[in-house]
Amino acid sequence: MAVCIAVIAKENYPLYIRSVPSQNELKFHYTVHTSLDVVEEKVSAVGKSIGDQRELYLGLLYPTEDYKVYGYVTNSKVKFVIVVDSSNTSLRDNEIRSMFRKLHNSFTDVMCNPFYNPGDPIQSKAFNGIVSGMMVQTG
Amino acid sequence: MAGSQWELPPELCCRPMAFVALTGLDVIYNAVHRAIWDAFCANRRADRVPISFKVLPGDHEYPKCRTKQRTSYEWYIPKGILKTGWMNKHLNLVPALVVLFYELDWDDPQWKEKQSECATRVEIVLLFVRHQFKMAFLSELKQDTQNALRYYRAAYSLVHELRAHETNMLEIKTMAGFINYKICRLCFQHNTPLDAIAQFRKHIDLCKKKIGSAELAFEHSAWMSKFQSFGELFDEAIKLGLTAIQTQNPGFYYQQAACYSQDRKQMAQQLAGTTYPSPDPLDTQSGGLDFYGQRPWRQGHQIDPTDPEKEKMGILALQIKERDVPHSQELIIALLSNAVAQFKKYKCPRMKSHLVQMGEEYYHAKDYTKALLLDYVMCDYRTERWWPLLTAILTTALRCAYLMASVKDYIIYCMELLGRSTLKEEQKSRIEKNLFKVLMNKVPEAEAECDPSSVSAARSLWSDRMALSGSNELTVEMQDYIPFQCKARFQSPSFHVDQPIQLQVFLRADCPHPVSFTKLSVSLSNQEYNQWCVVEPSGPETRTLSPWKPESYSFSFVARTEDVGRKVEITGVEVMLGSDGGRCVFLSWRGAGGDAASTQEALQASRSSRRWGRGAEARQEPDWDGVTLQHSTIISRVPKISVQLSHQPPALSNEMYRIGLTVQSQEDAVARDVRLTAGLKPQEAGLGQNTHVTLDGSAVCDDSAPALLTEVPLGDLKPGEQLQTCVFVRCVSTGPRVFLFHVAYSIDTAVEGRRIVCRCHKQDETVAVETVVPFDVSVKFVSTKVLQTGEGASECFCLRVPPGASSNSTMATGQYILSWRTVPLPHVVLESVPLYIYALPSFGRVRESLPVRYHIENRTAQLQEVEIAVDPSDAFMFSGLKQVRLRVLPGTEQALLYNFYPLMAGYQTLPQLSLSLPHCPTASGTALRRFLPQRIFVK
Repeated sequence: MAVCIAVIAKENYPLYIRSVPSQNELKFHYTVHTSLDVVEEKVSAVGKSIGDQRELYLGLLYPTEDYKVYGYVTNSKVKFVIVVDSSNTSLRDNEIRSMFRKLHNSFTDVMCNPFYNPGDPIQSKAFNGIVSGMMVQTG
Repeated sequence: MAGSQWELPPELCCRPMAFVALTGLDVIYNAVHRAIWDAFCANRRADRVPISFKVLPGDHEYPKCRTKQRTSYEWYIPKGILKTGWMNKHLNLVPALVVLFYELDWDDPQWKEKQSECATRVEIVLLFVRHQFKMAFLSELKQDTQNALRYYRAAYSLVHELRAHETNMLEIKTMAGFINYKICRLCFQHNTPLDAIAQFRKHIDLCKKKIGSAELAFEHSAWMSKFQSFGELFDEAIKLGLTAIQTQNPGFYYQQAACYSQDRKQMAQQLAGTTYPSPDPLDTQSGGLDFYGQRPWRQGHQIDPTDPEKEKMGILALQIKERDVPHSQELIIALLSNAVAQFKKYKCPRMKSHLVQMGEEYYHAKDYTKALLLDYVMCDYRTERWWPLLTAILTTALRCAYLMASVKDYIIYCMELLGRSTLKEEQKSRIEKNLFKVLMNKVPEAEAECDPSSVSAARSLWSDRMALSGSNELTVEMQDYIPFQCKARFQSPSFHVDQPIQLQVFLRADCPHPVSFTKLSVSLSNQEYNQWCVVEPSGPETRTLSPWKPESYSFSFVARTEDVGRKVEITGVEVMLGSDGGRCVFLSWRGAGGDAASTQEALQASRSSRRWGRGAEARQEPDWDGVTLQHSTIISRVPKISVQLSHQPPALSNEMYRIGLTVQSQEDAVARDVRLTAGLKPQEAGLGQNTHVTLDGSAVCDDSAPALLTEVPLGDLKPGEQLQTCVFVRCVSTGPRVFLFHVAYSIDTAVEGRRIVCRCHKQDETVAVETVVPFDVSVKFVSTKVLQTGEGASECFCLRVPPGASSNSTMATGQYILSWRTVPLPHVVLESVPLYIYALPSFGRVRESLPVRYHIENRTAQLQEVEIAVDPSDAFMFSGLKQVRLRVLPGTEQALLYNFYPLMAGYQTLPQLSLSLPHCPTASGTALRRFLPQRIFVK
C-alpha cells in the first residue's frame, strides 16, 4: 500500500498531497516534487515519437533507498504520483496500475463536480476516502 | 582514525598490478643500468600489460614463506577474516617475479660459473592461497578479471554465511563492503553496469538491517554512507564511456550517502559522552589493526567480548571521537555538492533544487552566509508554487538571517513568510510582531530551534546593529514578495490636456494583523509629475491596511501642454513602512504592481469569482484582478469649432478648382492663431507631382505650387463667429484624389485653477474629388482633294514638307493649343402653341387598312376653333373628313379618325394635315405642323 499519494496540476503545483502521518511529511513533498523531473522527461520523450498514442501509466519513476515512486499522467497533463515503501515487495505492477486507475476515476468525479474550480486544491471527501483506502493504515 | 576507519583502504581501490622486482641494478651511478630501468618504466602506455616495477637492492629481504605449512584447515579457527597488511603485501612487498641483473660479458672466462650463481639467487616466490578473496585478488593481479569476479562473488556469499554477532558485525560488514566494492568495480570494468547496480542493491538490502549494537549505530550509518564509493565507481565508469540515464546516475548514490551521513550526524549529536577514557582503548601496540574491521581493544577475539569493562570504555572512546567529527562541513556538503553536479548533468532540475539540504547543512555548520544560498532555490519553488517546501526553506533562511543579524534578509524573509507560506496563524503573527520590532529598531525575538549559544551571540549582534545609526533605509523589491499587494492604474487610457490626470493606487496587506505605512509614492515616466503622486496619510484610519481589505488612494494632476501626444507610464510604486525615527523599509514595485507568481492565481481567482459571483459584497472596490492600466496618453483638448467644405465636382484637368471652407467657432473664448493645412492627402502616392494647391485663384498656378499648403495663418476667431476662405486646386492628371483640410488654433483655458494654453486640432476633413478631361481632340490627316465643291471644313491646316526633309522618316507636325472658357449658348425664340396634336400608329402594311387617329388637345383656357384640311398623297388612298372646321373646348381633346390604305412599301409621306386657327393668327401653321408625323414606315 502507498505511503504517499499526490495529485499535481498541469503547471506542476500540488493539488493534493497526502502521506502517512507517522513520517516526515516534508520529505514526501520533496520526493514527489523531485519525481516530476522524471515525469517531465518521460512525457516529453513520448511526445516526440508516436503522436498522441501515449500510455498514461509511466511505471516506476525512480527507486530511492527507502521508496519506490510511480507515476501516471492524464491526457490533460495532471500527474498522479504514488510512493510505496521499497520494503513492500508484495505489490505488483498490476496493482499499482489499478490504484492509479481508481485514483483517476475519482479525480474525474472531482472534476465533474460543478462546484469544483479546476486548479484549486482538492478537498473532496470522496476523493479523500479513495486515497485513504490506498494508504498504509498506521495505528 | 575515526575518519580513516570508514574509508576504503587505498590498496583496495587501486587497480591491482603484478609486482615485478628488479635487482642488481644501480640506477643512480650506472648510466647503462639507468637506461635498462627506463626501458622498463618510462612511457608505459595503458594498453601494455599492467605491471608495477620496483628496483630493489640486491640484498633486499623478501617476506619469508611460512615455514610450517598448514596441511588442514579443519581445526583452524581464524582470528579474523582479512589481515590489514595482506593486500599491501601482495601489491608492494611480495614480488610476482624477481629479475636479477648481473653484469656478464659474453667472453667472460667464468661464464659458466657465474651462470650457476645466478640460478641460485633467483627465487620464485610461491603464492600461498587460503581464501577465496585471496584467490580473487591474485587472479586480479594476474589480470584474469573474469575469474577474479567469480572468486569475489563466491567470497561475497561466504561472508554472509558467517555467523554474525553483535561483536563481529563490523568486521563482516567491512569485509562485505570490500568484496562488494571489488565486484562492482569489476562489473563496471566488464561494461556490465546493470550487474554492478544489481550487486550493489543486493548488498545494501542484505546489510541494511545489520545495524549492530545500538550504542554504535552511528557506525552503521557511516558504513551505509558508502554509497559514496559506489557513486564514485559509477562516475569513473561514465568517464570511461559508460552512459548513465536520468533515473540511474551517480547523483542518487551521492545523495543517499549524504542522507546517511545526515543520519550519522543526528545520532552523533545525541551521544552524551563526557571524558575520553584513559588509557586510550583505541591505542594498539602496533599502531594499527591486524585484521580489517576489528575492535582495537580485543583483536582476534571477535565472538565473545572478554572484558565487559574494556568493551564499555572502547565504545565510549568511539562515541567521543564520533562526536567531534565535523559531519556537515566535510562529509555531507562534499557529498551534496557532488550530487548537485550529477543532477545538473542528468537534467534533474528539481532534484537539484532538492539539494537545498545543502543550505541546511551550511546552516548546521554555522556557515550562515553560505546557507543564504537557499535564495536561489526558493525562486524555483516559488514559481512552481510548492508552498509547503518554500515555507520549510524560508524558515531555515529566516533562522540564518536572525543568527547573522542580517536586517535586510530578515525583513524580506519575514515578509514572505507572512504572505503565502503554509505556516500556522500564530506563527505568522509571531513573525509579524518580530518584523515590526525590527522596524521600530528593536531586537526581535529569537527564532525557535536555534542553537542557544548562537542565539546569545545573535542577540548582541542585533543590539549592535540596532545601535548603529545611519543607513536605516532599506529598499525591498516587491515583485515576488507577497504579503503586500499593490496595483496602480490610470482612470482612463487617455486624458485630454485640459482635464486633470487621475490615478489610483490600491494597496492590500495579506498578513494576519493590520499594517500601517507612512508614505505612498508613485513614480511616473515623466518625473515632474511625481511630486503630485505622494501621500503621507496622517490619520490612523487611512494609513492602516486591514488584512485582506484593499485600500485605494487617488491622485490627480494637470498634465503639461508640452506632453500632448506623449505617454505617461507608471514606472514604480513605493510604500514606506516604519518611520524616519526608526527604520524605514521601502517596498518598491516596478511598473504598476502585481507580481509574477500571483498571475496564475489571479486568473484562478477571477475564474472562481466569475462563476459564483461571490464577492458582490467583497468587491465594492473595482475587481482587484482587473486593475490594469499602466499607461495613459495625454491628448490635445477637444476643439469646439466646425469646418464645412463646399465644392462642385468633378474637377476638370488643369482647371483651377475651387473648394470653399467655412470655419465656425463654438468656443467661449477667442480662438487665436487659427491655422489651416490644406491640400493633397500625403498618402496619395505619386500624385504630388501633378497636383498644385494655392490660395490665389486669380491666375492659373504653375508647377512650383505645392501639393499641400501647411499652417496657413487665418488670424483669430471670436466666439460664435465664422471665417470663410477658399482654396484652389489644379490637377494636371485625371483620376480620383483625396484632399484634407485641417484647422488648428490656440485657446486659453483653466484646469483646476491653473491657466494653460491649449493647442486644439480639429480632426481632418477630407474630400474626394474626381478629375476628368473636358474634351477629346482627334486629328486626322486628309488631302485637300477630299473636299467637294461646296463643302467646307473648319480647323483645317495645310502642311507643307519643308525642303531638305529626308523621306521615310516621321516628322512632328506641331502643337494644337486649345484655349477655352465657358461660353453662353445662343438665345432661343419662345412661341406659344395653343394646341397639342398627336397620332397613334407607328407603321402600316401594304394594302392593309391603317387607321390613324389624330387627337387635337386644347391646352389653353380659351375655346379654340380649328380648320383642318388633308392634302392627298401618292402613296396612300384614304377615307375620312377631307376638310373640316371644329371647336375644341379648353382642356379637352377632339379625335379625327382617318383610314389610310398604303399602296407602297418603305418610308412614305403621309397625307398632310394642314391646320389653321382662324381666331388665333399668332399661331402659325408651321409651328403646329411640327407636332404631326410626316412619314410612316410601311411594310
